[in-house]
Amino acid sequence: MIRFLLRRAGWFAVTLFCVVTLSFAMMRAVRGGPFDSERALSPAIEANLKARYHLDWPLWKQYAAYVGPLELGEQRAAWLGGDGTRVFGGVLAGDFGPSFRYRDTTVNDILAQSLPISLALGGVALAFALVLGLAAGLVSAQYPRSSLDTLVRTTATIGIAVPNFVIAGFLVILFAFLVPLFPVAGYGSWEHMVLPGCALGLPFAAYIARLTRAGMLDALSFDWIRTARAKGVPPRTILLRHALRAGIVPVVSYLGPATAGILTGSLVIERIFAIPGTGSHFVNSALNRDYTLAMGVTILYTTLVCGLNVLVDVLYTWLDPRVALEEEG
Amino acid sequence: MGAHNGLRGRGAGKQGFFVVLLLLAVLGYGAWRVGLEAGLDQADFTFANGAEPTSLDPTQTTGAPEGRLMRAIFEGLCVLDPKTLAPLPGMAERWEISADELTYTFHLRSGARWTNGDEVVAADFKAGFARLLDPREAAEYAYLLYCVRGAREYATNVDDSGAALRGFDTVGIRTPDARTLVVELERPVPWFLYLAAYPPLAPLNQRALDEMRAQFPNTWRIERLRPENLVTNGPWRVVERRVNDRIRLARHDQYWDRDNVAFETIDVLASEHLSTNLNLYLTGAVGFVNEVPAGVVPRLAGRADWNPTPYLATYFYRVNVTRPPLDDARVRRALALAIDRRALTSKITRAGEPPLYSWVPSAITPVTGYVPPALRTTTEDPVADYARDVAEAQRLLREAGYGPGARALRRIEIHYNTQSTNRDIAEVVARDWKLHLGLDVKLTNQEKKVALDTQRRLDYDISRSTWIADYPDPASFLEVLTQASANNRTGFADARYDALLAEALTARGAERKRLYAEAEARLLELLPIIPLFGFTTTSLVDPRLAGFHPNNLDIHFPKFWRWNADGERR
Amino acid sequence: MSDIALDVLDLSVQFPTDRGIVQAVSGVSFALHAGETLGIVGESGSGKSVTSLATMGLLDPRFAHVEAAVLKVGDHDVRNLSERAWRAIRGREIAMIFQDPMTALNPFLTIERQMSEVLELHENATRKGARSRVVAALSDVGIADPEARAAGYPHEMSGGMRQRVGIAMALLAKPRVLIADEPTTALDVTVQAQILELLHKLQAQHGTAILLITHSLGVVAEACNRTSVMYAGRIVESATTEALFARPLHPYTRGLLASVPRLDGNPYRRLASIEGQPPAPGVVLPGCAFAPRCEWRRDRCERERPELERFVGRSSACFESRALSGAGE
Repeated sequence: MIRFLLRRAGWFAVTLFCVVTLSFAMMRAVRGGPFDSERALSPAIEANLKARYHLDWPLWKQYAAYVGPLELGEQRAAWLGGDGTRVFGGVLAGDFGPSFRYRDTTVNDILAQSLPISLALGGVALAFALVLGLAAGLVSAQYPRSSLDTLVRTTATIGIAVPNFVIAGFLVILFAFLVPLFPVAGYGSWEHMVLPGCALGLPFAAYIARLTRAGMLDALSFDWIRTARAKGVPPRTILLRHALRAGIVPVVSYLGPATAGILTGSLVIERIFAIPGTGSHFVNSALNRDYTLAMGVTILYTTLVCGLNVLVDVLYTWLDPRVALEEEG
Repeated sequence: MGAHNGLRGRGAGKQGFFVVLLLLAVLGYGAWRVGLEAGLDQADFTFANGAEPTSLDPTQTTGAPEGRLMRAIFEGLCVLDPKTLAPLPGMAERWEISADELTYTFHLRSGARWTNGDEVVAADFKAGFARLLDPREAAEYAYLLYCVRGAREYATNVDDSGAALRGFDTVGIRTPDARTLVVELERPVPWFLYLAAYPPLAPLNQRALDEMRAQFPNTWRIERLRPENLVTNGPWRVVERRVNDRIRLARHDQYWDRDNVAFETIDVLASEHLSTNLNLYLTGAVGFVNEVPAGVVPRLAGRADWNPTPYLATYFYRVNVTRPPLDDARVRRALALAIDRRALTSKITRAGEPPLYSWVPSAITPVTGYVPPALRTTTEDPVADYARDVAEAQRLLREAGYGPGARALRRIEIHYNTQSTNRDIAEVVARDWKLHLGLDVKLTNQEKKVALDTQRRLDYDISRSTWIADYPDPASFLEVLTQASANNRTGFADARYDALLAEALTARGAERKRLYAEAEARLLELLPIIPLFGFTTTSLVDPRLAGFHPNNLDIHFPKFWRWNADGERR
Repeated sequence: MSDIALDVLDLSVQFPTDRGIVQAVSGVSFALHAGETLGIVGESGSGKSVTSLATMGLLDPRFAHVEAAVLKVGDHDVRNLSERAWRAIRGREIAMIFQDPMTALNPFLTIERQMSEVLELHENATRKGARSRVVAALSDVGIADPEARAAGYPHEMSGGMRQRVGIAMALLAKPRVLIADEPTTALDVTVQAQILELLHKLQAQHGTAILLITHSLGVVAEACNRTSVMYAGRIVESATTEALFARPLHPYTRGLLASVPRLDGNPYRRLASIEGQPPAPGVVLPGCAFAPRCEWRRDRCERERPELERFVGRSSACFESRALSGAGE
């Protein structure tokens, strides 16, 4: 287990390095800068702004300063104070720097404020997707080819095909306008999380329902299920005790990508429902050329996705006793 | 999946499911807590403010959302009447303007206080102006004060480290006593009182800033703007800020005009998604939205809360005058004439936008009395007008040597920043040019900042733009196209135009208007830009909100807002 | 209580398919006495496994039509039994072990969990109370270190050990009847003998009636008191194992016996094999199903199906049997 985690940590470091380097290069390769606007800046002001954020340095030096707290001699300006006494600590020191656009805040502040909200939304969506998806999939697998099964499968197909912002629109019309049960958008109470959570989770619920159904039907065809029936085990116990673990292996494999999808999918949902999460920064920071914020969000998401994959691998081991982490399959 | 031949099994049986259950429980609890902690009681008034403000520092902000917020938490020397836009006393209870219009003497009211209890004094304004002009602060709106004597020299002469070479005492701002502020201008500036109401010219509590600097030597830039540290002098103070969600304002109890401030609390929502904002408005969650999705505009016509009003902003195409055949003014004029502007505003934008035949939008006239010249004559019969324009355009092209029996015009490319309205408009323009001038037009969309970069590098034929006035004066538009202007981005350079504007700088009254009209006429002859239409405000405002009036500047001071006597809060 | 543990009379199983009804089993009758082992031999597709599943009530009523004049497990008439009522009988009155021990056990559950389940279901045992009996049962089937094995998973065991676990699990509730469906086919030859020996030993201990389904005459010779031979869904011959091997009455049995190498036979003799293929599923011949492959075939055989005819202590379904049985002598 420890060896496994160490090896994954090693790969994570390599991945992160590539992501940081590539996204740094790509951000800077894109035309247009953080301070460009319809109104041109006067040269003196532009020079001062660039100096404050070290944009006047050569790129390699900006990169080095971004990655680590390197002593580069002439760090004359400070990000947060004007006196040059403190310099930006660098990603290695856990400091993502100041936001170029939101000048009163640091990227750390923004992420610290928005990430719990995104995680909460993602959690609601994931819980919703799992509960609904597993339940629907199990019912569907228990009564294959029944009208209930047909209903589940049809709904799931629609759910997968329809993008989440369309679902969001339907939910808003249904539950905010026609039957005003929930607020139309905004943030501040659990009611505000219901519609976005559903909209975000529904396509994943649909997919999970399909995976569960297929996985369970597959699992129910295994020999040991017949053994269990021969023992007189009732159907519900067969489903939950004997088939579920094998049946939801595909669902667990899907959890990693699903969670990543929910996190990145939340950028649309967060916009539609005005949820102040991290997702909304994902696109906006790139459009605003907010270099540090864009990098910060990218690094954060990379970390989350990598961490989730490790979590999923660990999940396998208790789902299936035949899987051992030491052996790379 | 891993190998199946592992010798050491490691199943966790039932407890595995408990782990998942626990995980879900933690997530659920987290969601519930986050939701709970976010709980703020309902504010007295809530409005959708558009994008998240980039800063709470008035000298650092330029956008409209920031402006709306700043006018709630800061107050300048004056405020503007919500209806007439006439300057009203703000921090200054009265002012005198010298006969030569060069010296403004503001008398500050007594008893005006900051949120930290300090009295607002003339030195606070001097400190605020100094900070706006300080080149090291890199305030984008510093140029607004360049009309003050010595200000431009102070702000633009810098040493290697970027610091000003001159002392601030070389700038014409004096404080003879604590309640008197004297501003000496370089030239007559008819709009100076509007400027005095403008957020970047807000006062600064230097004591609070210095304290923060002492307390947080490394991070004071951020610390001083946190809600708990921010010292403001306006009708409200900031009590809570959550990026991309809301800024909660609470009434400033020591504000001088406190008794006339109706709302105890205001929520300023940050949401850029127009449909979301509209939904919030339609469900009564917000009382005012500044912008609605273009698609719903036609369906809003006739609503009591929908009053689009032209304001000082122009939708136009820049023309790269350095590229043949666009270097020929006749070609540019032909292009400008062949566009059916009425089709654009009646079929696409549909919010009552006035078709524009001038560079300065027609909304300027009610504010300043300036009447912009037009690039064509307009009669009662718009159809005939357009037919005449098209004929003239075709004649101009022939004269320039293009068209049937002469050279063919090369393909012209229109750049626009990615947005559906821009695309629709470009398609209509392209159709008009194709239909009437036989022009082959290519449409290219670019992301906003890339499009801007394309303009700067003059790497385009035609490029879409918007210009919004900084101050209510034709100069705010006309100065854009001087040779020296960094906002020019067309390659246009005309000595006579520049000379007329230079001359107008020092002129006054009718003479000034005449010079500007002459300059604009010159511009409309040479046409480095093709004006299409003037913007209208696209606000939806709760009909029960009093003190809010659509106006030609689209500037609103929240201090005047209140519910109608008979209007109940939703 | 009668001595007959499993009484089957005129059992037939039909599978309705898109291309018509497939008659998988017709007119199968046998009686299994306590402490007795009855072998059912036949090629794959002969209906022997369907017979065993039908007697366990494990055929899905949506896909299989089971009919019988008598179908009794002990005193229980199990015809048209509800699924719920069947569950009280399966595992308790009649248990089953399966062909492939590698897949017949649930890889996701510990041995103990799978075994104690039987006791929890049929004897209301607590898990704790079941443990000692599980360990004892494992010990009975010759598993060393039963405590540790009980806590382990199937994949940690060899095939022979798993089949022992399967047997221990099947016999846990002391059922009257044990159906062993090809219990040794997937095992090494040496392990096969051990398993058969174990079955024999346990049968002697508990007086269990065993229905042994196999395609191997070797296994039958070793383990069964009586043997029925199935061909194309019908029993074609039934006799004591001794008599069957000594004097097969049905041409098909003869063919089968001729294809088995014999230790006492001429090692240089070529092994005979039966020419041709059994009729495809769903194909119903008017006459004897074996007629196309039969060397004693006559015209009558192709027109008329021979009924199972009783002789002294045995029966056979062939027009020629009477002559061969010597009954007419």
